[in-house]
Amino acid sequence: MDKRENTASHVLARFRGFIQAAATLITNIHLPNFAKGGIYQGAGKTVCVPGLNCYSCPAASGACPIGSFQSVVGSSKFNFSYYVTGTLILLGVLLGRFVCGFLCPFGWLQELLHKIPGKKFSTKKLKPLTYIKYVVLLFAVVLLPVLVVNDVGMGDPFFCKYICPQGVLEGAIPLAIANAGIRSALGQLFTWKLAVLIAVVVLSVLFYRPFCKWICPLGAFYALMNRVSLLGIRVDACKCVSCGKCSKVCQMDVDVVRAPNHAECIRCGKCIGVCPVDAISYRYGLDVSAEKLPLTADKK
Amino acid sequence: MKLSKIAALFMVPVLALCLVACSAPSGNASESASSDPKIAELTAQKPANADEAAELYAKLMQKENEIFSSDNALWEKVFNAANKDSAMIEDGSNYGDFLLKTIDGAKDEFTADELKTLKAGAQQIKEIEDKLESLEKEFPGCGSTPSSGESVDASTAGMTAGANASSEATKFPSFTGKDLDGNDVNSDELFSKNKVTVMNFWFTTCKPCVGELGDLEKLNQELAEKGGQVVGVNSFTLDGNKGEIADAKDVLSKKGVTYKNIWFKSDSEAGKFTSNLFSFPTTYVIDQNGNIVGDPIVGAISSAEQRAALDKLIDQAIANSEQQKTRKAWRGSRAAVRSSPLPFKIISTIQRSRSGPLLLGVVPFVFWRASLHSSLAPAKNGDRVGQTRRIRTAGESGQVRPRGRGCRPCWSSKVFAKGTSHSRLRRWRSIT
Repeated sequence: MDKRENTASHVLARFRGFIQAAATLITNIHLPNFAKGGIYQGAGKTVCVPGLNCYSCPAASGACPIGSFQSVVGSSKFNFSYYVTGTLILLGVLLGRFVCGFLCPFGWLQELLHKIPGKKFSTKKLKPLTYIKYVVLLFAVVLLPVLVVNDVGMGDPFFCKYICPQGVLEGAIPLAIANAGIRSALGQLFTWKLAVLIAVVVLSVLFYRPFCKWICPLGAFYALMNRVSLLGIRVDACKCVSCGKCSKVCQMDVDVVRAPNHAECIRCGKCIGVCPVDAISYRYGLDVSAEKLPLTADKK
Repeated sequence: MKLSKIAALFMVPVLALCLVACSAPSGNASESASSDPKIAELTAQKPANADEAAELYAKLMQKENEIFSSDNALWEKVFNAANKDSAMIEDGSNYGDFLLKTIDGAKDEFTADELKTLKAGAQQIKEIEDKLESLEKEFPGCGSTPSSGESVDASTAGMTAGANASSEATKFPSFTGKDLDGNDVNSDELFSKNKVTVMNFWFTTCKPCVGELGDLEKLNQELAEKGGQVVGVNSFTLDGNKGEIADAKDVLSKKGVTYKNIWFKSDSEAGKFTSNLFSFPTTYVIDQNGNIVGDPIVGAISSAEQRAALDKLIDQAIANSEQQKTRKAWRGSRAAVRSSPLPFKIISTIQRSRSGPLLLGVVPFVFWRASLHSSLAPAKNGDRVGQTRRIRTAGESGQVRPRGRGCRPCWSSKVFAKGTSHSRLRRWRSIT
């Protein structure tokens, strides 16, 4: 048997669950606030966290990038947010959809829900649905807050207000439990959002990461950056025996050998773990010119 | 029937009765019923001299306070509904009659039971007031001398504290600041000039806050007729930032807002209060004395339920401001009550407390368990007694009859004739 290479990739892929848990904890570090019924409002809140984590979560240590974008763009003064977009582009280039696979709390929630035993359905035939998230990103996050304004020029954060289930789970429900004023302010909108949350939860049990695949605008943005991200997946063409196990095990329906840096790949590392010849690994860096590396599958 | 069964069956309704009768704030039918004979007894007394008259006076005042404090929430509603005309109070008519009239006027606000309680209470108050009047006539000054200026007793203090507790006598932190046009503003003046102040916290880039400004302007005009006002606090303008003030004024003028908007320093008490808010818009209702009434309304008041909650708070604030006047008028004409006797204090504390019923329920429970003790309830066939079981007897005479062999279950080595049973308390080897 060959000496096992790519140990770093294997270790990373194996400990993904712990990394997700740690990331969720760090993104929501102010746990005592759950009892207090208020939110953390300190300096940390000016920084965007990489994953989808609501600003109104009592424990949140930073701001949601999608929420911040909408609130800046929806105010009467601005139509675009350089700071938030810049942060997102930076994270996209540095990590790409690694954020989705390792750092997003809502992604972790969906994976945990998927572990609940029961009949599971494949999403291979539902690939067209993956384009919905780009529509959500374009309209609910970017265009509508800018265009649909009141008489003073202010727009609503449409994604946060009407679609995001993370806001209900992390913000509305904990705050309503601990804060009587907020509890009495809940109305029809809460009922709608709660229905969305319940739908996403149910779908997460049946499908793998339905929100990440079909709805998440943050995932859509990182997906666009996936091809130019520094962190990628490399398939060593010399070692690959074309057994097809990697694509079979991929739950995001990515053909790993043909397109390891596909927009849908969340870098979960399942293909790395299952490859019998250790052909797949993570790669990081700019210096990936064709001469230095042996021919890889995605260069063909 | 055996004594144990009777005792147990007796304890259960007693327990139930205690729990029902003693449940603290609401179930006070028993209390008013029990105070009736006491009132009748007190009113029947004929004091011989001024001292006894003063004592009786104090006792009657005590009774009146108890009636109010036993159904605090209900009486609050009555006061709210009361005719704000103070002329009725000073014309010398009986306070009980006044209350009865108010209750009748507001009778659709109460359920049938509540009406009964209220009417009974008002009737008792009428009787008490009659007696107090006659006492005053016989022994003029018996009402005023003993306790004018003395510290008010627990029950009246408890009653007023109860009234304020329902409005959460948290005072809005006092502040000095300016309005957006640069005029000085002082919290005491601001609140005391109006029966109710609706304080709305908002900020310039908050869409729901800006959205409700129109509704708040309308509310301001309605309140102006009732003697109230709306005051806005834009959290961006704290510390008087000129740019933010200009932006705020711009938004306000676009929305046609004429009510006062103020700012104060962010490191003052009021400033810290504002910084602790995380939900905007938040609306607080403040009465004339600077007390915050009820819970803040979180979210825009444009929805029907929020508007209804706000209206309730406004009415309560107006009533509070009025009530202070009403109560002061009455209590000024009567003396403050002396401390109530200790037994009354103990009983009313237990009845008003939350753990009181629990304590009173424990006693019958202990009696019941004690009644199950073996010395009080001798074991019968099949009963478990400790780790043993009483074996079935052939008749209750306890005769031991011969069996065919020793009894396996109870290890008795006596040889008995087949087919008979015997009575022994024995350790079973295996009892399922």
